[in-house]
Amino acid sequence: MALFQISEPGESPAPHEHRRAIGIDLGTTNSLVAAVRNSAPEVLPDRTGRRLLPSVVHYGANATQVGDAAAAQASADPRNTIASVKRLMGRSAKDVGEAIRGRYQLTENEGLLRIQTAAGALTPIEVSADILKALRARAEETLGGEIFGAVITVPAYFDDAQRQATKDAAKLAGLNVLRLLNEPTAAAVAYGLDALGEGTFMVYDLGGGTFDVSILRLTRGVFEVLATAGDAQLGGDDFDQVLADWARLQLGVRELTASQERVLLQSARRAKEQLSTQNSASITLGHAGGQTALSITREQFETLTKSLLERTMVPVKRTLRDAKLKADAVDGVVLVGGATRMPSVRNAVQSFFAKEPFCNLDPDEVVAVGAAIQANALAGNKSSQDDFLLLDVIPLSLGLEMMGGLSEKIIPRNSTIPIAKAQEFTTYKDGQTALALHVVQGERELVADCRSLARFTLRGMPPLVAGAARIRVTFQVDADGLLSVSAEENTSGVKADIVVKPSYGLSDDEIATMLQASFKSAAADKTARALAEARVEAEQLADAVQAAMLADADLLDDAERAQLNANVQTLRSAIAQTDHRAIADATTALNTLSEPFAARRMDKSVGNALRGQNINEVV
Amino acid sequence: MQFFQLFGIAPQFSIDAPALTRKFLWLQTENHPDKFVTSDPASLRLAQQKSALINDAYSTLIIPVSRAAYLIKNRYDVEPFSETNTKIPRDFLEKQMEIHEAIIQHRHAKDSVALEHLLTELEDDVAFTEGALSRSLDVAPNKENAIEAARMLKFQSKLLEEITEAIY
Repeated sequence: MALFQISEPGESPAPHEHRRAIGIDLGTTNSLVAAVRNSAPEVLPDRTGRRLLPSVVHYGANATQVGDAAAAQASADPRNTIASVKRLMGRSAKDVGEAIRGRYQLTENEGLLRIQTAAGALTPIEVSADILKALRARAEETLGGEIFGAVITVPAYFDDAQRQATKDAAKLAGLNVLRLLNEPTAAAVAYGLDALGEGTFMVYDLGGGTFDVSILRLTRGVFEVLATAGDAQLGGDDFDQVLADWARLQLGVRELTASQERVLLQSARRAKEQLSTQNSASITLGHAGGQTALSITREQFETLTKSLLERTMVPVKRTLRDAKLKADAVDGVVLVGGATRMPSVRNAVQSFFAKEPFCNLDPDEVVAVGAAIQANALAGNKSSQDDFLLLDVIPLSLGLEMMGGLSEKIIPRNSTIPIAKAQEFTTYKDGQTALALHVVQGERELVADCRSLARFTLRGMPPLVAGAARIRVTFQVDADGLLSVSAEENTSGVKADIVVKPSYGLSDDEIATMLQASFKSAAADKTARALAEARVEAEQLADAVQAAMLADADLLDDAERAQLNANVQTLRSAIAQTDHRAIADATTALNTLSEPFAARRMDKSVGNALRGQNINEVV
Repeated sequence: MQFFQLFGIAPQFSIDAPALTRKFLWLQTENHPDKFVTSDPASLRLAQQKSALINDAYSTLIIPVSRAAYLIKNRYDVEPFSETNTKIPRDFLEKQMEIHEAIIQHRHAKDSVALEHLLTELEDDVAFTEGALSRSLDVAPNKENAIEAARMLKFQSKLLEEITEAIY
């Protein structure tokens, strides 16, 4: 890994044209795409002016439909009309609630869930990718060209498996993922410092199928997440379900066909929405004996859903506790998600914090808008938005299984990302030459109660007496919240690396195969692109190494300098040829060779940057 | 004492926490990978490493028990919480066991008043131990006392977590 050419923050090496960057809120019920245009963020509508795309996909024998057209098929063809697929992302069959399990024909093969449809057995990742493709097409049409990259939002409480699944879906939809951004953080960005001011804020985000709470501290352009908690299986959908179950009970109807069930759910949702603005509504239930309408008051509805509302207060209290704050220390509460339109939610929040919540931005759109602002910044576009920085956290602790099935936490929940933490372990048997590592995520003491993320084995260690080996295990979490783990035995230097691919995700091979199937681009195009990319990277590296050798000549001896020069020359001549593999090989060679030099420069640079006199100026 | 150097502060137990947080935010503003998105891949990777290091350093120093452990490890080359390091006063341990049992009892009885009371008591104990740490690490350095106090703080922090978990 080479670490050259250190640019100053905010200073790009070369000016570039405006890049088309989009923010996508991939929701349980609805999805949206937004972009910053003419320095203002806006939600992009479809041709008919609709801004929300229902997260519903219909798989017919010949065609796939997404959005309203798909939703219209829900009652006629429920088995092939997939809604709320977000609830299945990164999950196994046993994680999924009974209501959803009953709705589709699910199968599970090696931990990978598939939904049987007329278009074949599809993974939730593929279904999500179809929604993302529709949004991508909408953005390309509206913005008039190819999309440079996207920020995709995820519930803050999503675990590693769910994040990985979301990223895979985006890749499958042909999107360059600039960042996975937590939904509450996106909402805070959308409101911005202008609206909120400096201080401590809570974001209460009740979406269609997920619930998140984050506490953020806003200081001088930094959005720092202090704590996050939530429930990845709680949302507005559950309010619909409670209402539907109640209606069925009232009318004494036991068996409903899948199609009648869908009609009932849609009717329950409409009633819920109506009850936000009026005092009573009616639910229609179709059954074998015909149709029956049932009236419900807001008061009845609120009694029925009281326990759901109470469930949302648990994460609220948990984040306060984790951030070591009392409710009165919170300067403001931001309401996000369509379900926060329910008066009962507003009242509960208002009475708990004794403050009027922020809800002047559309709760359905605020997340996509925040994602668009972040996407614009990550694409390097200068915008009218103030320069800002997001410091987010991981929602759940990451750890390793120890002897006795206990989990040893390596990175605790609410750690700011990116982060790397290492811990040393040893062997427990004489002559042990391999060590199995089991990576888990969750707060519980017992591994059996945590989510299993990956297993890998460090092999080829020298046989030593028990307790003599020194195995250093490093956990790294990137800015997307995704984990990679490496292990090294220190006395021998034996290494094992793994990027955590959850058992519920797709392998890189599978994704590659799918990508090839979905983009039937000519092989020549690909080679040309590979060559162009290899050249760009190679040139950057060669330039950077030469610049670094000039800047820090004192860090090299003569032999090292000569060897580096020789490798730079090899790389330059490879660039002049057209074999992208040769360029890549020469790049790797120079990269490896320059590593020790880079490390010395990093030490020097970290020392300089972090010891900088500016520190004393700010404090 | 790289972590202390990062923030330009003296390697000692007593710190100005709000000032540390301000320096942390400033360092992240300067070094976070998001500030280097238009730079070359190498600068981006460097920023990632720096940012991760700053996060690790800040989270270690801002929490008293990990700050104490870091100081002891780097000053005396001793892991204060390793299994082989078990020296701790017997009466202290007995008291911790008592508190632990009281938490379980009150939690079972859903007696939040008693839990709040216990919390205040334990917070006082923690403040006392932190005082002992600043004496044994800063004022009149004493390796054995510092290790003992750090181990005590570790016990107390764990109980503090248990109580807050029970209350909320």
